[in-house]
Amino acid sequence: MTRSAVLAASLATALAVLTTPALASGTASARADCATTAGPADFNGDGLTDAVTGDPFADLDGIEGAGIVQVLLGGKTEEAPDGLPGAGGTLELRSPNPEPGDGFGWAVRTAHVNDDKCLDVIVGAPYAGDTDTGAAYVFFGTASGGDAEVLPLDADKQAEAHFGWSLAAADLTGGGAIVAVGEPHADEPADAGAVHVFDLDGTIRSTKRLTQENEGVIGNGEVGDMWGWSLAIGNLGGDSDKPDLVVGAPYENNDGTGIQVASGKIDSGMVAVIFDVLEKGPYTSRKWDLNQATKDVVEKSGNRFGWSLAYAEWGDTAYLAVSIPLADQGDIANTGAIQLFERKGSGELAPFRTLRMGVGELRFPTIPVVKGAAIGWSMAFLNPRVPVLAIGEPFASTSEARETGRVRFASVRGGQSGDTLDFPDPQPYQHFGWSLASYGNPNGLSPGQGLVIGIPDRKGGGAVATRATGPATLIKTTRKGTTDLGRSVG
Amino acid sequence: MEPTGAEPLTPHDPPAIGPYRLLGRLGEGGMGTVYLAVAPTGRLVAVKVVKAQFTTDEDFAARFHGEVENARRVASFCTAQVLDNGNTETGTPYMVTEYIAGIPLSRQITQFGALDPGPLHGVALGVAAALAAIHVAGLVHRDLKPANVILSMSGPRVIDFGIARALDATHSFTQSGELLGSPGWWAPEQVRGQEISPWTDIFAWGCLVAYAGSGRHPYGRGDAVTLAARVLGGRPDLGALPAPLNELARRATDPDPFQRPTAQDLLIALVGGAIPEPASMGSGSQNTLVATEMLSESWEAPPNVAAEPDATQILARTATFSLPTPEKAALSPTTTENPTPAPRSTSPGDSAPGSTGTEGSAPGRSSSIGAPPAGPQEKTPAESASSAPAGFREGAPPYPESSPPVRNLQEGTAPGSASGRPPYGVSGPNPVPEAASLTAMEQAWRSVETDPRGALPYAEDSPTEAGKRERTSVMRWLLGAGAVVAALTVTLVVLLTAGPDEEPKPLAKASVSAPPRIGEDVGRQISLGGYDLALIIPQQPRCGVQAHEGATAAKGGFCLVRWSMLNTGGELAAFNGVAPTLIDDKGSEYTPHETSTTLPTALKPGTKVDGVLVFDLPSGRTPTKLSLTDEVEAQL
Repeated sequence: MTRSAVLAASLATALAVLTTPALASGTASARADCATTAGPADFNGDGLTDAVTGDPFADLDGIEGAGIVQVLLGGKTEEAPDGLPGAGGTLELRSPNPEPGDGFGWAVRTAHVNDDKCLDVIVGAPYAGDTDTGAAYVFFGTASGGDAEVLPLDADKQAEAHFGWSLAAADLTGGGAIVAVGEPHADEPADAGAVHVFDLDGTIRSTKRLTQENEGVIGNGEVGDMWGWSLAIGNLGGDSDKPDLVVGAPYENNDGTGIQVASGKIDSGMVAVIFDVLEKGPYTSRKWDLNQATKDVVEKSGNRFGWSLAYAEWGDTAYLAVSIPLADQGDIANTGAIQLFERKGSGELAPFRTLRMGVGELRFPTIPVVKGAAIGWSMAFLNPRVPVLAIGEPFASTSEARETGRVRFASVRGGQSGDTLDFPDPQPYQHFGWSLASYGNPNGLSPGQGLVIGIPDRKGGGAVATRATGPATLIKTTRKGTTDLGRSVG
Repeated sequence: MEPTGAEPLTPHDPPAIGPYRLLGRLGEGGMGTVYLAVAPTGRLVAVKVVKAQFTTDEDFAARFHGEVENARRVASFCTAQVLDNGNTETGTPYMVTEYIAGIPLSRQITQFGALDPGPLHGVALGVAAALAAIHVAGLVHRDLKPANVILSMSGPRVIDFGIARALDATHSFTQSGELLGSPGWWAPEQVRGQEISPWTDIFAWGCLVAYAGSGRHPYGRGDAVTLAARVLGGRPDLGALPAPLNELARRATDPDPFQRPTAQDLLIALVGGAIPEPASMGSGSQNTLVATEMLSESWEAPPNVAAEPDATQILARTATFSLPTPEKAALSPTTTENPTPAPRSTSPGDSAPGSTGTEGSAPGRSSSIGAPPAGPQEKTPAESASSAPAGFREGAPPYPESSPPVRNLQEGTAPGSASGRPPYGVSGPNPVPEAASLTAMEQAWRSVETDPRGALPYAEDSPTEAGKRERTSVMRWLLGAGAVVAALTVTLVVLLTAGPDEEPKPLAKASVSAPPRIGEDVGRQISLGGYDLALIIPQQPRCGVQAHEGATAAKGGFCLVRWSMLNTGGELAAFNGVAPTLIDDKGSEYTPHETSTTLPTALKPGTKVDGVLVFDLPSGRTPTKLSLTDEVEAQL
């Protein structure tokens, strides 16, 4: 981080403090210390929960479209005594070598990568490099919050393959973290996609690159699969203490076994799980196309099964959510749907339930089924007590405004109808719910306490909202010149 | 270079025409030569240069450019948009259109035989739509033939219109013995040297459809004189066509131009409606609903077109390699193995991200292409009556608003709903069972009825309830037909003619794919179609710039509008916009300065391209919006 960046970040924080006088800010706290005072998801060690959001099209000191990331610092509120991200101001994270058009902040995730207790931030910049090879970095949280050290995630990358398009991260039980970085436009063959897996502590302990051609990885790399479009890490089978990698390939065609090009159901999508992914191959893996995962949704071309993924575990039960945002519901096109998978005890994950709008057990009787809403564009699990899935449908129009967007909550285990997250600030085309993350989860595997919601097309350069309980509230950003804030959250 | 349709340049061809560097020859005909070329910023274009023999007439150049200006008014669907015109170093006029990657219908038939009923219907529909657009702009194509219809992945596109009249006036049949147009595709009145009208194109449409459906020339083969004699001597042999094309082609080729249907009639008939009797067309006493809904989803490309590696990519590679300043990550050589795009009927990009918007009719939408809108702000009594009640909010979904007691009841039954719910739940639309039971078509229909910006176009000048009902039923019927055919209805184009003496003018356009154009669009993803292709203007325009890229502002100062275009979809995404224009606070419109980065015509999956559009504005003017296509504009 450059000196000016530090100054800017400090200034931003100071301004944030000034604009939110009723809220405590931990950024300047002399007591903050990663080792002793850090909370479970705390970038700056002040004990309060932080989160992160990307603005990949923002200018940075005249560098056009370099992109920035904002750390949403926790501030104490009535609903969130452990800290509501953003209520304590923001910090800015900048690429160590920003170039125009990098798209830094396209994807963001958090994990405890090094051995201090401060939360670390992983950032993808898929358009970095002269040929859009892409880049990804780990920013280590510090007690001062400002002078974060940066670890570039070096890898064997391809031109125009967009390394850093997608990210997943989780803490490892023995210390350190696993970080997966998607490279969906890698060519083997064209746009078949690849995923890089990093075993990290303060350094890169090991790294490897996976494609569908690795031994034991089920499936064939076919033109345009974009394997690695979405990623998740969890415990879904195999050894219980070894992380498994979930890979979404929404543009995979369901064309039977073997290698085909542009046949079958085009872009119907699929999801694959590679068990114990940090081990050496050959791997054990499973994959599902939509037709294999559920009969509740008719598989069609263009469904995009695997567009977004979410994972969390409650006790010895884990859930994986895989979205199908362009699934039709009857005659209503592109309403979207979600397929849930469950892993119980030491078993392996299996298809569990299908979430559709207005029908079935997990329906939403008070929320209309809207054509084109694309539910499942984004997802996040939350609530440590009862499994709840938050579902983003940024293209939903309401009586308030066209394409204002909506977030729903669905009970994962059934027995309860779904509900809408209230957000009293509609605006046409703001795309509320474009991105979702649950904040405050301690290890990347457990469900978080609350939600961070991206609204990247809100007037004035995008915005982020957070929600502990009750309605979501807009976070006031102090940075001028935001462009697409909220495109990613983590 | 088969997929590109371009032949190599000959030694006689110049390396460049104006600022356009030539890459190959797309065709040569009686009127001139068409080249594939690359614009200074990398965009692929088609450049047509007229034969020198036509240019001896002193007034020709002026007439030519006047015609090109007319052609620019033609709405871009189903046609190749006119981008530019100018004179070569030797003073020969040329015109520049967007390059449509695909195969000409003539070559398709020659190589692969007659079209199957699906693609045939798509060609008939697409060409009729193109003719409707051309005719509404007050033009006549005059040289419609299979070589001028390109079968592209996005549908059939009519090229090469707009300059025939300039040529016609220069060299008529009687002057030179050379009849403009093409032998075998002439209408009788053309051969007789009588007045050319839109119905001349309709005659050619009938012949073209017959040719595409049978693989045979309706007048057979022979020299021009033989063919001319056949045209005058009898009706064309249309072969066996599937219904309703058989009847439509028969009526389109009626020897009496006034017995032929209009392009709009054809459109209505092709989506399943009945064709009006010619008498009512000729009377001119009745306003006529002329055009209807169309396009994307109806297009079923012939298998060979769908199976080709995308020609655009191959061409783009050529262009990218030879560009003086290659754009970052534009279109790379690694793309020829890309998957064939999904069938249009199921491609997600065809569907609207919004609900059932009828956005295109938003008041204040600039209509830089096509005739000026007929004062959408000035409501007729009928329109006022059809408008939503006070308090109707913009962008309401197509459900009736529920009354407060009903809402409360619903709310009470929803587990987990807290008291004091903010507007989302409270003002939420109506009972789900009703909403859930709506078909997509019904929703579309309801939005036409209830959305004030759907504009009930047929109501605007039909003051009587009877007239409104009649049109409503036609529209409802059309929508229903679309559902039955299960192939139609993405773009809803409603044009209205007001009688033969008035210039036809589009009153409203409604598009189901609703791009954002409300309020500030800076920093916002502006959808260029579906979920995948988007443009972002990251910052407000920077104006008052005196010099840019070595050029100096001539009028006052440059306004620089930065942009990023992004394709997050799974397929090559085509952008068929014309050159964007900037509109200032006084309503003046500006075309981009030559130092601008041209918007790409196609982006492969995952690609992002950044650039800047430069406009030269007089001092004191403020840019207010950027018009990207005739459907999309961005409020600055």
